[in-house]
Amino acid sequence: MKSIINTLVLVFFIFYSLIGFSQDNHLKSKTERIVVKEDSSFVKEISITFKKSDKLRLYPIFYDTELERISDIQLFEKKRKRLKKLPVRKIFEENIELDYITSKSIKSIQIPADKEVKLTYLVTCNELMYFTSLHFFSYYEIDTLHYQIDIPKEFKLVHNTIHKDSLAFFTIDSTKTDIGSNWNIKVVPKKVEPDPMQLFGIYKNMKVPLMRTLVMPTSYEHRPVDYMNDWYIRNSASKKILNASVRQKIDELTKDVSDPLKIVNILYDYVRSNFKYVAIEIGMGAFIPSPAEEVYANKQGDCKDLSNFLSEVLKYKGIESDIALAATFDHISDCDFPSLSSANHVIGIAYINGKTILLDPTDPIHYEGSPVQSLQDRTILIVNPKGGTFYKVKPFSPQQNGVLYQLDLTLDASSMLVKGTFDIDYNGISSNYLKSFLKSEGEKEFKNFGKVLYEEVFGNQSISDIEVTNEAKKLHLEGNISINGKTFNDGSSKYLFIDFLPRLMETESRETLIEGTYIRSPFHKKVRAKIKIDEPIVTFDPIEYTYQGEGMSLSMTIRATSNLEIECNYDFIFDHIFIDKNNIDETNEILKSFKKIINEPIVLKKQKS
Amino acid sequence: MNLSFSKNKKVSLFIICLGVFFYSFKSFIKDENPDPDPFLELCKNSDAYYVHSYTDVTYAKYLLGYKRYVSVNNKLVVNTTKGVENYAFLNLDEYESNHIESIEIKTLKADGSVVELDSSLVFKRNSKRKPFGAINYPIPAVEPGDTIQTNYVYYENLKRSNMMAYVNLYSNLPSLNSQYTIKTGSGFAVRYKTYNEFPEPEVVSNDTLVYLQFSKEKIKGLEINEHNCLPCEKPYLYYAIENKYSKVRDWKQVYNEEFNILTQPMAIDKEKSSYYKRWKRRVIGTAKDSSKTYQFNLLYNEIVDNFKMEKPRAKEILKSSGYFLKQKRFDPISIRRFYRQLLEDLEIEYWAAFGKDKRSGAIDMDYIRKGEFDHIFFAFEDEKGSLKFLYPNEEFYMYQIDELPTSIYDTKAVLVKPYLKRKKRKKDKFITRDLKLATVDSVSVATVKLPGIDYNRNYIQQTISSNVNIEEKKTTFRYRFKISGGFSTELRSFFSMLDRNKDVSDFYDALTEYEGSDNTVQIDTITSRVQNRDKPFAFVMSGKGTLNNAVSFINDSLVSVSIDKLIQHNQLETASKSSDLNYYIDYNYSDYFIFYLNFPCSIEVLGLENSTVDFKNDFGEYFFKLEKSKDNQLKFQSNYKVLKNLIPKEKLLELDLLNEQIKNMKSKRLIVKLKRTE
Repeated sequence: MKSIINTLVLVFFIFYSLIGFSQDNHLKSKTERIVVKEDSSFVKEISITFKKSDKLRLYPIFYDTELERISDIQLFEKKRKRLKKLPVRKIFEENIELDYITSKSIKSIQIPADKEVKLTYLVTCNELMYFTSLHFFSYYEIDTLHYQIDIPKEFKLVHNTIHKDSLAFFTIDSTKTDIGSNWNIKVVPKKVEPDPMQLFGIYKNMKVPLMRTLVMPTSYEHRPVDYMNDWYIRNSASKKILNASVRQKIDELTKDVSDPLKIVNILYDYVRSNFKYVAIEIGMGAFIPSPAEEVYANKQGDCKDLSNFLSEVLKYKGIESDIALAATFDHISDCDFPSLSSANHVIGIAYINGKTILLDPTDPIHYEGSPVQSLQDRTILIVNPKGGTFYKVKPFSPQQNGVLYQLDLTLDASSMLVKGTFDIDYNGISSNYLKSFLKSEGEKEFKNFGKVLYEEVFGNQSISDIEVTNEAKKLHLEGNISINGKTFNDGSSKYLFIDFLPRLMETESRETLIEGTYIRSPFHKKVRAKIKIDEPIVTFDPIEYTYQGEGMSLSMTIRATSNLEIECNYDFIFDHIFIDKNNIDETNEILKSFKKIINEPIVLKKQKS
Repeated sequence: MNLSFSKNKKVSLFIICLGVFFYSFKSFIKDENPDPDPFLELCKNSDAYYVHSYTDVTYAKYLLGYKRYVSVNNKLVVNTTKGVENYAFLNLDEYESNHIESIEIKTLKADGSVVELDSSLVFKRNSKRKPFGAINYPIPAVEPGDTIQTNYVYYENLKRSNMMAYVNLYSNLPSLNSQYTIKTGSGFAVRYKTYNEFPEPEVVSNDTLVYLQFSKEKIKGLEINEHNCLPCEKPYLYYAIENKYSKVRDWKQVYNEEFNILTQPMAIDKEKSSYYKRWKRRVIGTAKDSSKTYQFNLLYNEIVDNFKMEKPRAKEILKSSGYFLKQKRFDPISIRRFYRQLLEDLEIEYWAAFGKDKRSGAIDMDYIRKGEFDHIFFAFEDEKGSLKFLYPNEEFYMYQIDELPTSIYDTKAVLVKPYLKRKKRKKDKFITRDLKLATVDSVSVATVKLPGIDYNRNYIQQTISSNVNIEEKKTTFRYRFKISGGFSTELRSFFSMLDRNKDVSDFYDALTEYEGSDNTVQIDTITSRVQNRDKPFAFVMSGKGTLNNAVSFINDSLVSVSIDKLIQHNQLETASKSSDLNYYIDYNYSDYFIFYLNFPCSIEVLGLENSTVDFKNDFGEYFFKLEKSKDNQLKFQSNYKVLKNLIPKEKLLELDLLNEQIKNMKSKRLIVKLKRTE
């Protein structure tokens, strides 16, 4: 546990140092003039005025060493309207250490203390597609942020801003001239607090304002999706060739198989089992896949490499296939606008019998024909020689992700024990987190993990003899449970606490949830607990509780099925993937209500002999 | 007869032949299906294993210093997808990546083909001036069943004093054969010592070469956790490359090289140096005729109570103690010098104390190794003649006198004191303008076992006395929290660190928010806080608060009580079901909780049956008792004890059994019937 915490502390420091959190920079203004050239390069002329501070500060410039060149770094002291040039004393250069290989780097400029300082520098880039966005948020305090964009007449700028409503001030204006167009954008950027909760999978600060941009040739006017699509096809065309050894291997794997669905299954499994996930994102390599035959030879790649390879081998076997740009649940925006800033993921697509089948070679648990868990309710941009199209990935329905708990218990008030068995059936992707663990750690470790998990799920009761059966779209678990101290006699009555019933959200141990919690997928959980009583009781009218909220409901029933058996059942339907400000109150209300119900004892009247 | 003999002979021969045939057949069968080698089976069932793992180290003179060339040659068979994901990477630390001489990494495919890693991609530079960071580069084309062959050589520039190493042949993967070789020129001697039955080496020594090869076959992979101590149990080796005729290191050298450099005060800058004397006079005040140790305690407490600790600053390295006193702050370097100056000035007899973390293995008294002391501090005698320890303050924590880091509890330490025939001169006490460290000619040496503290004094005690207000449906309480011994040191140092380091504090805040702050015992006000300066440094906090969720009001006459969230013992958990090594813990301890629930009327309690646990085994105890102690009072006690500092690996299940007792009791629910007489 300690080592996990140490690791998290380390990750935390990396996270904070990346965003320059430790610096107390207050920027009076920041101006970025972006000049797009006819040769499809662009230059950013950046000018930042820092408020006076009694401390030396470091201002980080994040850039890509392969795609961008930083030059002409200058510092000035601002004396009223006059600017006095200052020497640039120190520039620290540091590679950004991520869990993948990247060409991203940081230049940190030392900003002198006790002066109002202006920093100017140029960023030059030859790849126009890399002009992907304008940030309207900042980890620093910035009083005004000004973007000026000069576009020559050969190009057009298209843009789309997300979460604009969170901005206190925003204006945009454009003028056309005979040589092009000029854009003026002024904004008071949203100050974003660094959020260490992201390290724990809680995404609080995801909704930040951002303008996604695409600069395209005038010939593509009103057809930005086509431009993006054609650009991607053009740049990845040389990466699609399969050499003889790849073809031979694919033929071997699919020998005597003609059913296209089976071929997809074989090749999808082959890539996921034999290729390791490795991301080498150098320059435009962060967006364009590596050559398919290189991916095959190295048996490794990232999402775009593996998807491109998979798509090509499917095509080789006569199955229509594409790749698609996508944005996973934790990306800043959806992939519903054709800009490279919209996507952080690439998947494969196969078309069989008129159906669009999503394939994510980086998801070891996904099964073909179902939505990809990380892309539920997201848009993907399918890249196809006939034209790019947006496709909305349907989320799983709660019913598809059914979870059924069956408890068969016997009460013995004399020993104050309730003992019995439990069976759990997971359907759809409701057990993906369990399947991932099982796949990576093996059955023995899974049983240890399962014991700890389910003891917690059942309110810290004793679990033993866990068995697991893993099937394609199902997971079955069973075991024994022993519940102590929940039942006792009182003359003519018998008390029973039912706080051993499995908690509503088994992936979350908190009693109430916090905004930004990723629930993974919608689900419908059914709990059916039969409890045999050790002496006859007076049957009673069913006790029912119902709670309803937007996209969620809980109905619970406690009833006597005979004078020797009662049933405690509940159905919990949750049709959300994230806990956000719209559903948090209702979710927590239901969690609290459930807690209250199971905290109160059931009073069973003993039957008079 | 002859015929018969002949016939018999033939039959005999036939039988013999048949026997031989069957025997050979049996041998043949046996050869075909030999008993599987259990170690080979273990290897095949691992995610990956080493066919061999060789490290060859060569020492050579280089210009005015020395160079060490380290050649790594491994052959790793990867069995599973998990093995590919975890081990098909070239891992080099920052030093290695910047000092690589040669590298060749190959994937030997199961089909006989070979794929080589293009090392120019690994060492691609954006700027010649910028050093490489740590490297974690994927090795291409690895699939389950393939073998990775790794060969690389890197070098290190060394001072003579650093030509040494601690070596074990373990990794987290099994290895069929692991070797470590040391090679050097004939001008040197390799002085080595093996521990815990590390195999003796093959040695070649001639006019031009000294060569030692340490080798071991069939080495199990080890998973090491935070409680384990590999040098305490498993074979390892220490060696040093020395001049052929040099003497074995002695304690005089250790004192001069390792203690003086850390603690000798500066007498270079005159600035503020007189302030030291004025400050000392002012703090001692009227106690100037008291004993020397009393005066020392006064001065020490003044530092602990009123001074800050900060990071060392390069420009202050030569500053005197007076300078830091004036600044009202010290750093981990200046504080050591300052304490030594105080001890010298007050003429208190003191020793240099050398200690080592419990989980780093024991200090070798017979062969003094380099780099073996994790802790260098002071020991002195008080006026009663008892030995006290003075552990210098750290950046985030100030120790009380006689308070030690818990990691050196119950370990052996070495006390070293100069043996002087003459009176100390200024040069013996201070570093003066010539910047020369004092050297002593002879020392007296003693070993001591550093004090440990047992569960009687290492404890957490929590007392809650609560009152149920039926009308307001609210339960309030008075709370007393006492920690003592190692717990006190650890908790205070942890909070001191949080107090001083915003980033870590923010991280723990986020962690707390993520885990969900449990407000069962909600402290509303803290009424007192007392820190005892004497061993075992008990810290007592009292407060008042509100109890949430533990007491639920079902109706006017029924209350249910849940003790689940009330019992939060500091349990010693096992990292997994089994461990390759024993558990070494800093200290044994007890964690005691007593809870009173007072009602405004008489009560009847349901569920009190089976409410006592008195569990004991060799390693721990758990006592739990739930009772109606008065007509209107419910009381429960829960006492968890860990009795031993060492838990053998085969006995870890006993720890699980101990922890299971708590889980069973936590689950308990009660119903309280209120007998109100309105």
